Amino acid sequence: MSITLDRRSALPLIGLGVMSGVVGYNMRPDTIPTVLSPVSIMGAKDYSADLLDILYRGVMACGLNVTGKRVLLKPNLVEYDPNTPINTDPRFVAAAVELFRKLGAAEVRIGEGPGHRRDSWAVAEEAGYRELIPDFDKIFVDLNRDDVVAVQGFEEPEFFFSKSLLAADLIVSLAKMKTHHWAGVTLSMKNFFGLVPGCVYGWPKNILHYKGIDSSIIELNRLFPNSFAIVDGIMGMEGNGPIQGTGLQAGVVVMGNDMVAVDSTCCRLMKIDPGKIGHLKNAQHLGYWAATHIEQRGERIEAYAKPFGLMKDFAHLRLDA
Amino acid sequence: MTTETPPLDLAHALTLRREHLTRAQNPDGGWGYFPGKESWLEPTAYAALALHGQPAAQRALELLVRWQREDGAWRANAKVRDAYWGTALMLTLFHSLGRHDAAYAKGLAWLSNLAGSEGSLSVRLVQRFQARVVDQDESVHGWPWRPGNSSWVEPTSHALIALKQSSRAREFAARIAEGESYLLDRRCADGGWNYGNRRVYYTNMSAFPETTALALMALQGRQASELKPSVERALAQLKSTRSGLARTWLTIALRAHGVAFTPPALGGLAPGGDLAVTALELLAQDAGSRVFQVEKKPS
Repeated sequence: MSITLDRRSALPLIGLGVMSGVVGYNMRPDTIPTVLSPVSIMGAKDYSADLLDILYRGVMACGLNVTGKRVLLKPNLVEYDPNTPINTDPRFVAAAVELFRKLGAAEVRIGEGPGHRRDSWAVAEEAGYRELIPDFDKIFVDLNRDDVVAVQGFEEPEFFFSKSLLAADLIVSLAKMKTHHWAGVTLSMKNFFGLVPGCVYGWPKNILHYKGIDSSIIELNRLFPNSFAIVDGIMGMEGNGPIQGTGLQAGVVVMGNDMVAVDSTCCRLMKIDPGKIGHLKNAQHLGYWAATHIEQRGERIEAYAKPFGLMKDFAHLRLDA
Repeated sequence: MTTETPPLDLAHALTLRREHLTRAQNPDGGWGYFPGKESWLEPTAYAALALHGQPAAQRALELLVRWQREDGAWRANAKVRDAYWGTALMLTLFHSLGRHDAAYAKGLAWLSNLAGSEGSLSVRLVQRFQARVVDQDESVHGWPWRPGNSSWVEPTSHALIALKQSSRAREFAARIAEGESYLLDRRCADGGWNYGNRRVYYTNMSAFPETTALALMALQGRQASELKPSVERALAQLKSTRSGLARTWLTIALRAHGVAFTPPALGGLAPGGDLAVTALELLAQDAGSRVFQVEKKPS
């Protein structure tokens, strides 16, 4: 699909979103919104699908306006193993780059700070990012080794983040749909661990473990409210995620500006109870996890729900278990 | 398909790197991780080692000296004031320059008293739960990235090199032995090292090339037979890795262990113009194995 969007063609869609109670990306309040959170679910059998069209329809369904904004796409790029789908697929990221450019973003960059590997560029190389994402070398910023700026956060007067990250108007969490052997799941919210700079906090970013994984996920999402989630669930990971699990073709993409609602919807698609995931149930001040407060758009959950395998220690997370 | 650049004539490749490094030096005397970025201790220390004897290295040293804290530790850069793992790297730099002055002694004292927080009560309580899923000996301590955090392979390796190089190595023998025990405990089943875990949730972790190299450097002086599987793993990683950073550390480590191998040819500059990798590539071709050499094991 080829999209040619200008302000005139985009405005009716954005207006529709506003009229239907959609909150814009930079309007998410710190308190619970009084309207339902829209989350779009789009089917995508595999990565040969028309990803640009799928992402476009999902983003538009949530009324996102990026015109003139500096957008930073944050994929889940951790480490590479040819035998299992650890990372957000590079074709998925490439489609997102193209989409946000066509939607009128002033700038589209890709930023990531892998938690385990020092050489972010090599991980990008191994994962196919440098080959499959046009202009990758020009738009990538290694969030582990950028200039940093201090902000107040994590109950500390100075907590450092990448200058390029803080310069973005919108952070798009291009997460991977995976189980996680500490947090239960890793989706759009947990993906923000990669925003923390390794050159200050190390590899792994051990300070987040000491501060508590769930509370750190929530704090990172509180610090970066100008965000939008696009979860790559086309090929997810079940079992011993986020690194050593097994690939599972879930065939779905989930999008929305309420990250809690998006991740809760992903959980339901994975047949995991979001109310049992600490960083979701304790993030009421950031968004909704309860289904009654989420307006599902696009495909129905029931049509795509597929039980992601859980390790024995996490069996209690199963929806309706 | 790869985006890696084809190999260059060695002299050309080294000139390219020296010129790139020299051009990228910041007005404050330091280097960022990438051109045009603010100075950080780590790339500045590597560049100072790589350009040893040149005025650029002297300017870098003058900056780094100013970044030492009152407690002897070094900070990461002008903005990040906390004590930092790179203190070990500074001690290695000072040692290579024969600069065993008061600043060096103060840094050495700080480093020798630092350990991972595995021993704290709260951490022990957490580890009672984690013991089911993280299979390792939590009673031995390495060094953390930052005080108050757990031990990890990379900061432990740099700390061990610094302590072993010191003329006070004999005095630190017990701490060095514990650090070595930490590394040997965390060695993966494949012979190399991951970032610090060898087995999680009943599954073996795979070794990373850069941490395997650093751990091997830190374990200089151990019996060759004990390190044989790790050296074999490092040689295999050298052939397969696509990381310029990993290739340089592996080259330096294997040379430090006197292993016969064919070093990888250098191509164009590292992606993004990575200045830490550029400096280490120069070091790997020249003095790297000497800079990180440990003469003998303390007895």
